[in-house]
Amino acid sequence: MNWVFIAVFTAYVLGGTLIALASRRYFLGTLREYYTSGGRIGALLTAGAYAATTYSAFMMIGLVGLSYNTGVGALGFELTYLASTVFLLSTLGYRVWGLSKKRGWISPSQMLSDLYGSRVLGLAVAVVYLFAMLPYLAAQIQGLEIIFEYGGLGEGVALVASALLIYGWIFVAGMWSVATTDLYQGVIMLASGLAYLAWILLALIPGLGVDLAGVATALSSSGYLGLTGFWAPPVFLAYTIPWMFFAVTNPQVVAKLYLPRDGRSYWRSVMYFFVYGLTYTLIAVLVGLLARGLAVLGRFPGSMPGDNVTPTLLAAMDPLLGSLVAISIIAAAVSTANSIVLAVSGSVLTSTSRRGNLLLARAIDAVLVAASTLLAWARIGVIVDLSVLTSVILLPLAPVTIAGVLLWEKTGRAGRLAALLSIVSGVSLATYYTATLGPRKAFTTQVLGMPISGLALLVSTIIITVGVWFS
Amino acid sequence: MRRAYTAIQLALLASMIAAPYMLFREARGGELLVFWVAVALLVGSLAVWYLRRVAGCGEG
Repeated sequence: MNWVFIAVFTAYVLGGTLIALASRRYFLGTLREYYTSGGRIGALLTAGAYAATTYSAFMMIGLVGLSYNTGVGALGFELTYLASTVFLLSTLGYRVWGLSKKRGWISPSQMLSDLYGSRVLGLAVAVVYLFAMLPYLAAQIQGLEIIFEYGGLGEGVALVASALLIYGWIFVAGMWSVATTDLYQGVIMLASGLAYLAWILLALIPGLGVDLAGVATALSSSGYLGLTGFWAPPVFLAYTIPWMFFAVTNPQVVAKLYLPRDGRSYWRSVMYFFVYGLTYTLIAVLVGLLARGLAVLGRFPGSMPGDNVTPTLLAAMDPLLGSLVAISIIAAAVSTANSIVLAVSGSVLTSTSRRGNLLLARAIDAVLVAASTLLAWARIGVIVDLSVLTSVILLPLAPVTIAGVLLWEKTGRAGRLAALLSIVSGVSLATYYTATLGPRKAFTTQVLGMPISGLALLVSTIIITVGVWFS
Repeated sequence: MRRAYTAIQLALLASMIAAPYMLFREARGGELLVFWVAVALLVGSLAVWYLRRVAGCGEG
């Protein structure tokens, strides 16, 4: 048992719980408050909520490993995501924010239902969210087990602690407690990330008898600072396309667009998020690249699964620093997971019930957390593998959302039908290839010269364009 | 202004995907890292400028 980890984890839970409880004073007890804080949040809280929700445990586990295994191309993929997100936030996102003030939306499926004037569409979107997000949630919870293992805690404790944390910080005051704890967790993530990078630069590299210039030279000569064989153009597109539209397809971030209290808070939140995202991305990629540089010099294992790089480095750290970084990864997963639960719960509630109440909302949250924890516990491989395709399954929502927001009140009957067809066909395509090839292979397989994500996006875009044209 | 802004941003995003294969295929010395960070900074700065000065949310 790692007692330093237990102490840091306890402090993290206590700190977050106190913040969540303190946020109750702002919570007015309505359903809109529960899901969107009534759109009364300032720039810093909005940016913190957006950043901590967007950046999951993938950053310090997956992206570090991807950079270690495939080189600087991982930075291109992640920064293209960040740049396209900021562009979407400055155009479509701002329009969504403005419309949400007028229309009082509390969930993304309700937004689409309202934009197209179709309850069936809202229901279909809620079903797609359930199908796509539950495996993703289960994968987040399962991923946390690796970190709890660092603290010497077993699977059972990891699952129960994850589920309680995710649910507890939603239960207290809905979006108010989620946004405030997100900011708290976002600060932990960034501070620990900086400490992680500083430790590699100032302690690990000199301690192994090499210098930074030597690591950089090793990276350059081995080709990891250029495009490695992994990043063939179709693979780069397969990774990039679903993420470029993340801001308009993933319910947990779409719902964050309803939070800012005014325009000033909105643009400031976009600016803070951008600075945060750029810094955090650079930290994760540099950690992975430096680990690879050390491997080229024979000072670090050269062939290991990418997901093992951070756990291996954690084991080499001072226990206090290692525990801080481990807790930051838990914070990243929890802040993403509770926002997903809240967004999917809001979508299910608004699509199935005209008069929801807080009791029902909290019951749906509980069911979602329990279901994803059970899926994680059952270790059904294909379920967790499905999470790889979450962003692809959600991709058909991009053209539907963009058309709905730009052509609001002009979508007409043909537009409604096209939106539904567009989502069904795009999701069916992604599901078909997942079922026939397996999720991991389907992600990078090419059909008609393009990745599955490109094909799903093309098909759904054509359908919605034709529908809107006829409207 | 809105159309020009959208066109410029889309061109910058396209360059983040295409330029590495067209201009930096043989680069091995950190040029790609600098390029991607520089373009991302440009896109982010333009987005904040646009929101404040053009979209009209600078005044609250």
